[in-house]
Amino acid sequence: MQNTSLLSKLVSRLPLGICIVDQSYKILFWNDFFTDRLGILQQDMSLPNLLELFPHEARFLKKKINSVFVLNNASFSYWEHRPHVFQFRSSRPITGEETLMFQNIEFFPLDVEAQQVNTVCMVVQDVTELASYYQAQKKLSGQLEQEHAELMKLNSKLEAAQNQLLQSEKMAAIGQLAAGVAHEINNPVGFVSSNLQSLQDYNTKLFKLVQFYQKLFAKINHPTYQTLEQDMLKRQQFAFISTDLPELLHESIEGLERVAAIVKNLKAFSHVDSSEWQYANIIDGLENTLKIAANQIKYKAEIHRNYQPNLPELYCQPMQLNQVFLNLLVNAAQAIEDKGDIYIDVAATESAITIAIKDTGVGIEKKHLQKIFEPFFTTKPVGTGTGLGLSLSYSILQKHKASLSVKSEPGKGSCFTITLPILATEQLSESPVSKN
Amino acid sequence: MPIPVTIADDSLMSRKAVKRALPPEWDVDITEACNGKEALLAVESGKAEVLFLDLTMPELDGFGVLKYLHEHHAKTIVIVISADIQPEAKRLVDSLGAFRFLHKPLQAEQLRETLFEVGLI
Amino acid sequence: MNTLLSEDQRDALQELMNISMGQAANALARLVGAKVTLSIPRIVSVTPLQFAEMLNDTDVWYTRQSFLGHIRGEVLTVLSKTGCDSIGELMDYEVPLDHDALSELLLELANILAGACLSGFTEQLALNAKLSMPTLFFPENQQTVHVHWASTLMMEVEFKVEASQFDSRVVICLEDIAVDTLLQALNRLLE
Repeated sequence: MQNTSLLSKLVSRLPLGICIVDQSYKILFWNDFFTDRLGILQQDMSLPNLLELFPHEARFLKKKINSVFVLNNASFSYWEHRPHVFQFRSSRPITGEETLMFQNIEFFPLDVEAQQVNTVCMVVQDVTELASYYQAQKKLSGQLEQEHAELMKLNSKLEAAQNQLLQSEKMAAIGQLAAGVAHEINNPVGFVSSNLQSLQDYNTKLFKLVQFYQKLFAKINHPTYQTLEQDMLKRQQFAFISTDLPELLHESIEGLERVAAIVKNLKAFSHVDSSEWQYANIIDGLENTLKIAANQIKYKAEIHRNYQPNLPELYCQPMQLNQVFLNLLVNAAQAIEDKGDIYIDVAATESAITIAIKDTGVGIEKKHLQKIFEPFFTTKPVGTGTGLGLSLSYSILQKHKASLSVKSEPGKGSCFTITLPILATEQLSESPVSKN
Repeated sequence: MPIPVTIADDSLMSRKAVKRALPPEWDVDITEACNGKEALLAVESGKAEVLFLDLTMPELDGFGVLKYLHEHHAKTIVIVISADIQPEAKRLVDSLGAFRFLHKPLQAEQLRETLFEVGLI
Repeated sequence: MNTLLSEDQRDALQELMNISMGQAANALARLVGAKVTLSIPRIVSVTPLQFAEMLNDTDVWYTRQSFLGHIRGEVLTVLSKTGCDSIGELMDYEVPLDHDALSELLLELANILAGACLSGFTEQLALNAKLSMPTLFFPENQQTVHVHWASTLMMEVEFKVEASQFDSRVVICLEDIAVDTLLQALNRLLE
């Protein structure tokens, strides 16, 4: 008797919710913890049916309890999956954020006779403290994860920016180098060129002289001397020299002209030459350029123009931009192997003018796409391209704070798109046009 | 005269458990078999009027033994004692003409009850 | 440890496992309404290294729960990742399973299997052991498994649910001391 009373005191004071049901889910016993948390004053009512008392959780409770009856094996419910099976008031009504108690529940067979379970006991444990700690941790780790992701994003942005910086630094360095080289080469090219011109001139004169002497000799008509002369001419390979020498000189002069052209391009590339800033119409520039390039384009491609009317004038270096257009148009024509089309689209928004030049040529291989803006990169046969065109264009566009992008599919064609921002004069003036 | 009884189970402990559960007053002559083949051999040589049969055994399993007996020795009284207690196993065992399907671990009272039902004791 | 077991003891242990696993399979079969097939129980002694290797599989979920009583140890349940949805469906879960439902299902399955295995096992030996609630176990999150044992007895059996692709293994690991208790109980049974 003493023991029973002690035991019942213990059960009523336990910091656990205890509830016992029979096979029809009728509550046979519940302790004070269970009723207190439900806000039920026990003496007020007779013991209800568990499923009727918790209609929202009836399906789950029934399943759990049935499994204990059938399997004669304990079963558990976790706060992570089902935090509030029983609508118990929070264990921290004043200081806590929670209004309901987080709970773990164990369902176990209590009264078993010959493998037959007669009653099932539920023990409800208050894990609000643990749950809120865990949730705070989880929130924190979620925040950390998010911050980490943001950092990663920032990091990759930085990396991209650094790459861009490297690229533009490389360009600048090559520009300076090119300027120096151009300057150095220009002088010798100048005097070699002028000397060659003189040589060509002297050569013509010398041949004239030889021809004159040959005529004189013929008049003398002396067989011995004539034999001597023929022999001499033969031994000195005069006939060959007389045809080869002008050719050699001609080729040399032509070669030197090419060198001069390269130097000129290099100078342009490194902004050695200036160009004036002014308001200009992009369409006019394009049309002028098309006229210049007509010879290189007309047999290869048909031009399709799609210009947006009433384009605003743009503060720019028109001649330099023409250089860019020329480059892209000539490239487009050269990309076309037999006969094709070139589409020129010009459109404007509030903030920028875009010029797209699309061809139906051979396209650019993926491995080359990265390199096409690098100086001296060319896929054209040796002698036909300097590899400076696109990098020159790139640096001109940089001065206009414009971007140049390319899309290409080998076998289908390429599309170069220039986006020129419409900027105020002072925004562009920071690119001083220097004269070396 | 003692009744010839065979206990077929690959586990020594289970055979012991069956022997221990047999009613002491029951006059039997016990043969032990470690697999299905030995069990059939015992039946063929008349040592198994009653056969206590496990289902999972090497060589030939309990289902195989049941099948053979079902076709050839329908008179043998087979009491299956199995650890596989799923409904599917019981259905199969019943269809093969076993007299009873007892669960392991074997309860002595249950065995006595079964023997009584068959009229052996 | 294998040599610690005599042939009779091994036979007895194997049979005990057979019987309790049969009960577990029956429990599972009743719950999912499908036939469950069992492998032959494997009884081995393992070193911590061998044990750690067992935890390397990325195609499975692990749960663990400890048991206390006459014998002590842990039950590890290994559940295949494939077939969870179909077994969830058999067990009246809403499929496809979301994260919470999946872990609830895994814990429920583990608890049923481990509970039936252990209770069948201990009842036959007239020992008692009470299982705690199972939790999901992510071995890869443990930097180093701190072990306080040199070798343990491991009893393992595989369950397959034929209607789905699902399979599961229950591994009962005994504490060193518990092995002695187990052997004594086995001997009582064999007398």
